[in-house]
Amino acid sequence: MNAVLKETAHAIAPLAVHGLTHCYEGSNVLRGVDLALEPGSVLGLIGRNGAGKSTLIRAMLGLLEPLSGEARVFGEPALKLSDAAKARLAYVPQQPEALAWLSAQQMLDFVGRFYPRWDARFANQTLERWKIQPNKLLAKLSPGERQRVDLIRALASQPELLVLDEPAAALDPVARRELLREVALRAGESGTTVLFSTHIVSDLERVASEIAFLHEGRLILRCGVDDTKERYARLWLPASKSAAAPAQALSRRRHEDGSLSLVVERDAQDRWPEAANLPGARVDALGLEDLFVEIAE
Amino acid sequence: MRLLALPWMALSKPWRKWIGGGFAILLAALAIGGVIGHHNVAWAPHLGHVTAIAVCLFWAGVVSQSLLLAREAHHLRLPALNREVRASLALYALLTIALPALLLAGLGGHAAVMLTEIALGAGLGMAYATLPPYLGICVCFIPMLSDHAGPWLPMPSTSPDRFLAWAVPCTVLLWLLIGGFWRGAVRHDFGLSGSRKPILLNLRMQAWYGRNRGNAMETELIRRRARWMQPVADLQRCGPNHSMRSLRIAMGGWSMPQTPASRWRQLGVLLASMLLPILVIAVASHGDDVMRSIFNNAHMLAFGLCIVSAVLALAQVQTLQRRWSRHNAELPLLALLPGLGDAAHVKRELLLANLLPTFGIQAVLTLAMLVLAAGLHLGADSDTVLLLGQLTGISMLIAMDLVTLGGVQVRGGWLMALCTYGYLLVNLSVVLALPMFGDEVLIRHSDVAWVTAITWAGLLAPLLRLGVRGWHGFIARPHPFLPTMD
Repeated sequence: MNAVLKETAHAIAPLAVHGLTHCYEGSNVLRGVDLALEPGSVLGLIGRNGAGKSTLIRAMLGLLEPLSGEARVFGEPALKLSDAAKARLAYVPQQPEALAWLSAQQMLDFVGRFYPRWDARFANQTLERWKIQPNKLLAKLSPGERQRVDLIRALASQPELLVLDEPAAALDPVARRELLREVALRAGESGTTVLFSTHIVSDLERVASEIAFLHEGRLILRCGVDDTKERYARLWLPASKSAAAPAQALSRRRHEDGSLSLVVERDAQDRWPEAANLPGARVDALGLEDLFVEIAE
Repeated sequence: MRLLALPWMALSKPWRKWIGGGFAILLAALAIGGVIGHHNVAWAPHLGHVTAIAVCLFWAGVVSQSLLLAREAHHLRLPALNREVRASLALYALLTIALPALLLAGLGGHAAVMLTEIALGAGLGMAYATLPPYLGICVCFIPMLSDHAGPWLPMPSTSPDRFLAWAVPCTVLLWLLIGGFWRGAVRHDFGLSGSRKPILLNLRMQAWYGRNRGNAMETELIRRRARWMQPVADLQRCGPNHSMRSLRIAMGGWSMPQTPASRWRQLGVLLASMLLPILVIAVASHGDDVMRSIFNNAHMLAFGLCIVSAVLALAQVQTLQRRWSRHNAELPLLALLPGLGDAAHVKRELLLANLLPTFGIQAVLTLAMLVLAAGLHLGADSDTVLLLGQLTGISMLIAMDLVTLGGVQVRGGWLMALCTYGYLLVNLSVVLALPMFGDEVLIRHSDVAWVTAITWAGLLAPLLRLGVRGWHGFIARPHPFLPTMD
């Protein structure tokens, strides 16, 4: 019986949204987003500034009421999470600013009382390792230090689901590398599911197992990081053949000479679109950063 | 012309219009006063006094803006602009201090007294804007001091020569002080702390922060405050079993649980800063009997009790509004914090955590008001009106807390208008309830009572409506930690 229950629990996606839409002051920020995270996966959410990444994350965690759609965390409605579900997740917002009137140590002591699996030793050791003065008020820390304290807060609760919104934005390269190592370690050893948003492509390549590309409020691409080179490419068609361009493409750009560049995807039979075989057509492999730029531009 | 326009350039267009219009009216009134009273020599000291007040306001509101230009000129290495600022100040000194003094001397006033009085007025205005807040605020009490210090401090209307004996050195000292702080504010880069930064620069900083300025200012305040002045949170008895106390810690502000030492320190600073001006005024008016002086000013005490209650309420509401306007701070932390209980429980605890500390102090203030009213032997109608004054703070707290927690969108201007209306009502209550005009208590007239009741309904009805809307919004929210802006 216990085994059955355990299996059922594992089958539930730690984080899932369906048909999520939201708008600010009349402009659509999310347009029907569907996304689910596999347990133990590390999903990097990528997109340009203003693509809707932070809004999507906040809607996924029940930190805002979306216009429509539903979000679930460990199978529970995100807006009505139980204490048990909350104890299993940790979230670090972009540029965290909470509890500025407490010192770093006070904040960790205060928050730690609420988490049943709080690792106080880890919190103290990491504060020391990251050279953050425990008695300094949070308001007096630099943005990077504040982000690190919040990361310690999130990691010390030993979450099963870790959600990080642009965690590396305010960090120096050394701190960024340490954070990514910690994330990879958590995912690899403890099976922590991680969702993190970024626009630093190298971070994604370093730790993410999957990427999701959010563009103008739509999720337009989702695949394994290692698959991107195999699955997506840039198809260049000369002006004379541009009429034969496939209708389905992730991006489409016409050059001054009339030629056409498209980002295309292999079909179910692992083939490129037929236009790739036309005389003069060229298929170029794309790295993750090139793919990002091609689509976002 | 450019030199005259210089300080106005640091003001926004609407402000230029309003301030310019206001001073044009004031100037016209002074000119009319001068024309009417030019045959009467006794008018000159009064005109001099009014001119000094007008010049004080002008230097505080307009000429002091040159400090911003002087700073920019220094930081951007523009010596020509720096020279222009100095020339502009000299020109304004000539036009607003020397020229009126000459005109008033022509009307029969004592030239030296006029010059000193107006220069002192200009200096006080400038001091308010360009001195650090702790000194600048003292300037606000100077007019009260001049009203109450008559018995022992010679004034221009009573003893012109003896006035000069103390006013000239004071004026020179004041201008030297202003010069020193001006130089410091111009030369120091942006490293001046909030307590040392002139009021003018603090106000300008608020404008730069825009809509989110409350949060930015709060963080800045914590960052700049001396270590001994920082409130220290008391983390004892917080955690899942003490959700209300934990919520108070998570929301910060004056009602956050603090260690006893921290609480006493805060209270000491607050009381010292509030009582000091009262004592100065009391000593100045009745040096022989301070207590008699304090209780002679019952209207001031009653007004103070009502106003403190309203200010406490507004401070609490502001703290709440700040917390509920940010989605990267306390809200996500609290929304995902386990152990606070289900939505209904946490809503109840949150509401109580917000209301109870302020209610506690308001209850004490109400009690003090009742004691004062009993001591003054006022009638039931006066007591009722004074209690209504206390009710302003309480009702504002409830309505505006619910508006914020319920995510009700209300225009900032509308809330500001309600607060101003409430402030005026508190004033009105005190005037009506106490015998301020001889032995007569105005509220005892039935027509005054009716008008007062209608005026009160004008405040309580919209507050009630806002409160009900806020309550419905609050109940309908799936959890209370959703920001107001989304």
